Amino acid sequence: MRRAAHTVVLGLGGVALLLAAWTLAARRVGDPILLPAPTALWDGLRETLADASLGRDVAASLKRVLFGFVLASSTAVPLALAVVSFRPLRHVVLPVLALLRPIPPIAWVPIAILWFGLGDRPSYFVTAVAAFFPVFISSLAGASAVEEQHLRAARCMGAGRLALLRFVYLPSALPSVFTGLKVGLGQSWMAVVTAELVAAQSGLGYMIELNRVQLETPRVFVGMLVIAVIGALMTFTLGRAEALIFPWRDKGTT
Amino acid sequence: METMSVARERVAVVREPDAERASASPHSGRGHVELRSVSARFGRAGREVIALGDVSLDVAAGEFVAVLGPSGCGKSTLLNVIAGFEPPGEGSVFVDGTAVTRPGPDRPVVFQQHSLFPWMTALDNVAFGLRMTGHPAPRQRAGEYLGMVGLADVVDRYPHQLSGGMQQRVGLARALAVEPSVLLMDEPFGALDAQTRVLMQEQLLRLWERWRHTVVFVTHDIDEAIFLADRVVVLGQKPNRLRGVVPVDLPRPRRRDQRITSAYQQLYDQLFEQIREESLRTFGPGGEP
Repeated sequence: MRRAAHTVVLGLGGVALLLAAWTLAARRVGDPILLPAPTALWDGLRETLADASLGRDVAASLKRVLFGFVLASSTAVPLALAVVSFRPLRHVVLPVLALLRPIPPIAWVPIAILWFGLGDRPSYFVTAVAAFFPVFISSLAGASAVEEQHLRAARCMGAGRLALLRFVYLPSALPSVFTGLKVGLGQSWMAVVTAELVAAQSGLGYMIELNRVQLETPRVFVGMLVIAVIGALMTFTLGRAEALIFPWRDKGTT
Repeated sequence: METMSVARERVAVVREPDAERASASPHSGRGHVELRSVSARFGRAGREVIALGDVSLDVAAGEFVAVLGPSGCGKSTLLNVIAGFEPPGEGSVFVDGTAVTRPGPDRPVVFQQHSLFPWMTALDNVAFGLRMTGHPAPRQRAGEYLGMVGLADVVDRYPHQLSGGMQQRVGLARALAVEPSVLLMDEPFGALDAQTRVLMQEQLLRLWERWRHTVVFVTHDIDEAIFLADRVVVLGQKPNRLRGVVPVDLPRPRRRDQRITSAYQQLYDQLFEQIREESLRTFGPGGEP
């Protein structure tokens, strides 16, 4: 408990240092459009909360991330399992994915606009692309690392191919799948902002870009800060969920 | 951390199964295993290693056979071929007249260790085979079998919360629950400490004497082979052939104090000499005796 308190104090210290350095730098620069003081962000936050625009933008971004993330996960996990349990598929799928993977999500934005126009749909596409690869690669690694002895034990109890997938490959892979989901959600969240900078008329990315054009720099920082806080919350929440989902990994409780 | 001491590791007395099940044993007459000129090889052509060379063996229904041999003699390969995990290179395996082509719940395997599904509780591990074979009440039946191996108290624990001996008992219950005709055991007590191993052997015998499944039990421990088996099959090395089959004419139920009888000693010496000769062959050149 003391140790935890210690960590919190040190962590807050780090944030305080950042704010102090920022304040000094803002004074030095002397141009609130280039670098507003941290106190100016407070006003920006109150205004955007008051006119409810911040809430609308957050909701728009979250919706796009969740949609794209769910789309990506629900294809990446089954595909990874199928690839591991059915060898020929592996040789068809893996080269294609190896080729597509180096393309950063942002490079998909122009083609997404071309295909889907402006609004939610190009963002769904880009967030899905961003989440797909980390989820797929972790799931593949997890399912490939299945213990041969677990497969044998299941087979000599009468498990067929589908039962092996459901009762052996999937649970073996789940911890890795979950790691992939955590990374994928983070990537997706970063990608949605990128997509919204150009391909949407709402959302946090759009808000940042709009306020930059209008020289409302404090609001740009508010947008960035909200992105940071929500991203951190997502990671934290999934980390907590992990312990609940995998009771068999929770060593040392009897 | 679960640090279960040997003393606390109590193997409970086998519960009396209900009279109905005992009388209507489903295993009587099933479980005849035949190996006909079975060979198995590993590796690429030209640099093949013979894992098993031309082994023929007949195991009667209800018989307890131990397969004994030095490491590398192909004991586990023999078991894997019967289990259907590895196809024999030549020859074939029949169980009750049907050729073995794949693993199946009539021939489950109890492995040496770490074969329980870590993501399932003890109960779900045992229920797994029952679900696969379409049993109407898998959890209830699984609970009964866990009770028979003395683990009624830990049904909801995950494998990592159980000691090594308890894990092996869950593994045994899992294999027994599907009511197999043949039970295949691959050094199932090999990773346990000596005390737990002895208790496990006694428990296994009590269960077997009630059900009389056919058992093929792989071990490198001569005492274990004699204590458990009706016949001991000795596998030799280079080539990995059947070295000999030694019947164990000790009365059942087996007891530890049979070890001091001269019959036991003769058996032990006979097996010891065979194993020693086989082990010596991999020592240095000029192996042919």
